[in-house]
Amino acid sequence: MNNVLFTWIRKEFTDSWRNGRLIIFLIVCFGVGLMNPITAKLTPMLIEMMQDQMKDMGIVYDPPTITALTSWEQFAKNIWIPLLVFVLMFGNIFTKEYGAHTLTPMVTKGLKKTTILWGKAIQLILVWTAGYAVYFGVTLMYTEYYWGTEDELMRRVWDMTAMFYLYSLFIVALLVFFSVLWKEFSGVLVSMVTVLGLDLVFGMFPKVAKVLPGRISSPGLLLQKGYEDRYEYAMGDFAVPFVVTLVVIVVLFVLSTILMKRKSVD
Amino acid sequence: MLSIEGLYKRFGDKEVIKGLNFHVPKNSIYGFVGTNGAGKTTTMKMVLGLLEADAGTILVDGERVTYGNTDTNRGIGYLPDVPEFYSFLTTREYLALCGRICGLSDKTTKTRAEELLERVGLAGEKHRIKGFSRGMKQRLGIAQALINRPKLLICDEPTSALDPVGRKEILDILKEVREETTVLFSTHILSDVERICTDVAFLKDGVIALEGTIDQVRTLKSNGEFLVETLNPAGTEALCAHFPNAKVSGEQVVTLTGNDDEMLKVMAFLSGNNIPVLKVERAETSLEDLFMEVTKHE
Ligand SMILES: Nc1ncnc2c1ncn2[C@@H]1O[C@H](COP(=O)(O)OP(=O)(O)O)[C@@H](O)[C@H]1O
Ligand SMILES: [Mg+2]
Repeated sequence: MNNVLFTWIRKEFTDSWRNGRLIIFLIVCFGVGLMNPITAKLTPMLIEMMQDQMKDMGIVYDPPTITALTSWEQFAKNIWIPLLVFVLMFGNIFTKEYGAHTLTPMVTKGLKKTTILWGKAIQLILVWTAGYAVYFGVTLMYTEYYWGTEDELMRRVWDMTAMFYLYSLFIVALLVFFSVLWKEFSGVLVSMVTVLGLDLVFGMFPKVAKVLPGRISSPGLLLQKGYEDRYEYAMGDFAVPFVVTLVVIVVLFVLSTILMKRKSVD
Repeated sequence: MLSIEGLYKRFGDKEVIKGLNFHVPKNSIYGFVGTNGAGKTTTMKMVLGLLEADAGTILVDGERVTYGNTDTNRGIGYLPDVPEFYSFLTTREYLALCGRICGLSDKTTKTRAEELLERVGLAGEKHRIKGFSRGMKQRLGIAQALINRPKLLICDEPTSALDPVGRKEILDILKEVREETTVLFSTHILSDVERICTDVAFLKDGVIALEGTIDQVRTLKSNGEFLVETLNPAGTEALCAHFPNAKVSGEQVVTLTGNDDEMLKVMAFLSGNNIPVLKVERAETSLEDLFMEVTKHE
């Protein structure tokens, strides 16, 4: 492996370790991951507690059956929380260096700007992957412990986890691209919100929605009732936006690399 | 070591550098003098390939500088005007990072780092860079710039933000490193230049208004004035009466203009007429005066 790139990535990790962000992020992922099965577990108790009240009011209510599915539904619902925390905590790793002029001595010593770009991109991907793995791992562990996930459901859980992972890489690619384009983190955030907003707006037109990355941003769809019968169909439904997202990610990284070479980083 | 020819740079419709020429000889300490906003930082950034020049050539040791990742940077150490380093690292960790980026072996970097920290007076500093003062950052800045034994050290206003003690420390370090490298440093403080520089250039209106060795520049501009201070007013009167170009420039002080012959004539006159004198001296033009003269608006 390229020695300088490795040195650079190590410097990035030293930073995020010593400023505490890495550990805080992983703890947040652990906490949110733990909440999914715990919420599912506590739901019947909460409902039971309210049942007496409801009876007085004349409402009769069947207590819902809680299974592994409930826990995985929570997982799908909360999946954006770790990603949002990640973007807010690690999104400025480019822009904070532009503002502090810490790259000037590095670049004048011959550090290639593309190495800066790739080192930071790799750091982002590694940290995010670790956090996502913790989030998934914790939910999986406790869900298995309480209920056990049947094979058929597990297959869908893997599908949706992989699907959202690709979507999260799309977010990372956007982050990197706009961090090359702009000098300030605020600019990066506004641009990202704009792109995601457009994705949402165009997602309202069914024809276009079928090909947009936004399609794979709600993987909870894969857990919906009746889905079992339509598995093949549904996978086909997701295949196009999956490939589109993959292509967009590659294009974003290529563009970032080209633009970074011309960027003034001092 | 460094030669710049016909350099131009504009920002929008503001022309900052307008046909700059200058040459930094090997093993000199070269003072690059200009007022705030004269374009010193701009020029240095172009030498480092951090900024793109509109026109002109820059040669570092005969090799041409290009914008972007320029190979000439291998031989240059750079201390930016406001140096900032990774505050989460210690000085040794930072220098180790710099060494790796320069492609030095870990062993070489380690010995070099210790040597440099000793030289800049940071050897006892084990803490992270976080709490460093401006002066400490400048000193670390010189250490990181010298890590790969550059042939040319470029410092952008290394003393401007420091107190007199801090300034002296930096100047002493620059003077010492002259043995191993050529030093180019910018400043607007003339006394710094007088203290350590061998060569100087004044930047004004985007061009070099004056350039040369310190001695050359001094004699070039010294207009042959000399002073005579007499012991009593009578002597002053006698001098003025005899020499038409004599001017009274103080209490019993007369300023005369002329070469050494003229000065000898004056001295002969003084001794021939038994005029008691306190002193006769050539007027030294200070760089400060020179700078004022060069940069004054016509
Ligand atoms: N990136 C830039 N964009 C526009 N103007 C600039 C830029 N950088 C410098 N300038 C202008 O160029 C002139 C020279 O700046 P600079 O080289 O920093 O001066 P010095 O270092 O001698 O104080 C200043 O008037 C400054 O306003
Ligand atoms: Mg400046």
